[in-house]
Amino acid sequence: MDKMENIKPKSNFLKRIYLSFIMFFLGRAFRSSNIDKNIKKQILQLPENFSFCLKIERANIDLIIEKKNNRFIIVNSKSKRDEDIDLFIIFKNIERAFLVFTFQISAFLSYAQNGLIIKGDLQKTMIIMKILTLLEVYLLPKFIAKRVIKRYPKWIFFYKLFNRFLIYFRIFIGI
Amino acid sequence: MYFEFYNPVKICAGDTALSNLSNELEFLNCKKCLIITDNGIEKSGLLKYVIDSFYNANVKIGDIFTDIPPDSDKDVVNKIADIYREKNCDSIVAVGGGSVIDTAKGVNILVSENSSDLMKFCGANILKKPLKPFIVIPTTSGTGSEVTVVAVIANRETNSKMLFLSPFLLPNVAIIDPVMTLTLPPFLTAATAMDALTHAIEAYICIGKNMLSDAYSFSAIKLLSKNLINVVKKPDDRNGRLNLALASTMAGIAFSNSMVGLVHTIGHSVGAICHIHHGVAMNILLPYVLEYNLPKVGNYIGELLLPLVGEDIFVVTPTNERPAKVIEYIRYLQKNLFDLVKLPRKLSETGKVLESQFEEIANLSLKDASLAYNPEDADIEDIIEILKKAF
Repeated sequence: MDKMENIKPKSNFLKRIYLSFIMFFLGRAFRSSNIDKNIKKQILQLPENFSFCLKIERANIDLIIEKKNNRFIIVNSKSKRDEDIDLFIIFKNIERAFLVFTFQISAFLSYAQNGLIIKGDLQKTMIIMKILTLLEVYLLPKFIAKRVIKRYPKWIFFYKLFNRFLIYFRIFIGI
Repeated sequence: MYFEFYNPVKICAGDTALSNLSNELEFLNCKKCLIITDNGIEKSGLLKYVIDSFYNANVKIGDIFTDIPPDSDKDVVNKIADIYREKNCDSIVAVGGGSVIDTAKGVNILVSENSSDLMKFCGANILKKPLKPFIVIPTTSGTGSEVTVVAVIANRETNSKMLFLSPFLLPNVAIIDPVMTLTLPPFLTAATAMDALTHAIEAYICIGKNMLSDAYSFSAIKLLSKNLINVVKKPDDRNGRLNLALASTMAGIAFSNSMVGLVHTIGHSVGAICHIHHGVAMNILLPYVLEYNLPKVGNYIGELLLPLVGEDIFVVTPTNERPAKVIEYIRYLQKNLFDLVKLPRKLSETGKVLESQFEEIANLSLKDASLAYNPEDADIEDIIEILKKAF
């Protein structure tokens, strides 16, 4: 028997579980994101039925989002062919995704370090990255968000608090 | 800390570098090449040097296309691709500045993918396989396009610019011969060199910076600072011309691996809306954007004083004063270039920019991918503020 058959690369099970959870969470966050007027303004710049896929290479983790009626919906990855997706934002490997989703580095820095592969229109990529940044303001405590956001926005405290509550509420309820 | 650095382009540089053209094509197993250039290159006599380099060579010239407009256009790309197929060429040689090189990159996409629809390949990393053999001979010292993974081609139907980004766009060989930049007028020499300086500086201060691109940026800035004014004063200085061309190539390698930031973000939009020369826009915006980025990356800006002014001034300047000194030196350089060739230092001096266009410029800037690489975020008000200062 070929001894190479016994050599099996190990998968990092815990990181995969964590990233799968984050992608699920992020999908719901995108779905709730139109609550904020700044995010809504960004969504309006995308064409209707525009779809994008956030994917972690070699980890079988992906998230497909589509714009319908000026808000985002989550699309089942089995129901959409790759050719029908307008934009792919792909993390090259599980480690690069883990750095971004444990908020050690920003998505922009990962992009600048070639940790992300973009396939599609760069202008629309910028819009998605901007939305992701704004979502981070709502989803993360300020001291963590400040590490991954170039400039923390100066929003009215109660406006941010109210929207944060609404976004979290919709994430947990799943609407 | 993580970075990637990629530059597989073979660089033939120096006196008589052009004589290697046919050898390089033979190494790439080419039999018949298509030369793409513009009218200016033909009229200035530079094309003759290129043609002469094929004397007794085993590679033949399939055709020469000389009608490239200043703004690369997808219809022109299609037209040239048809000529390539009709003449059974197997390789492309681009002789010119940014527009010619980007057009040639577009042609290479179409002929390699056997397509007539350039739109299909627009965006990042759409290309899947290596393209046809491609050699670039730059005739300006600014764009660095001979070593970059990017091409920008206009789409007149949608009145927009298509951006192509792929490592497969890189040419196989870049030939840097000082004779090819000798006839570049002093004004364009100054504008394109300021473009190269901006590439090198932005590559050094933006978030994609890394140790290898830093080394290229440093060397490029040193060469530009030492040679720019001399060459503008004495355009026939071959050694100075070669140094500027090499600086431009090094700055190109640097920014192709770490990208550029807000100077380019705004510069692209000013160019698209007001039609001012890219190098002129870079020259005007550079000090204002450096001031804007100062609170975030003042330390990196300060380090650039060494290649800009040399160690004598660098060592006697206190660390906390170095960033301001860098900006002061760039303004001094601008003043000299204005006195010598009237290179505009303000948007108002171009005569093409109106204050009423600021909002449109700022809105377009926010969609530019280079904004992602800038160390400081910028919104519409920030960009309008920079434009007002630069007006």
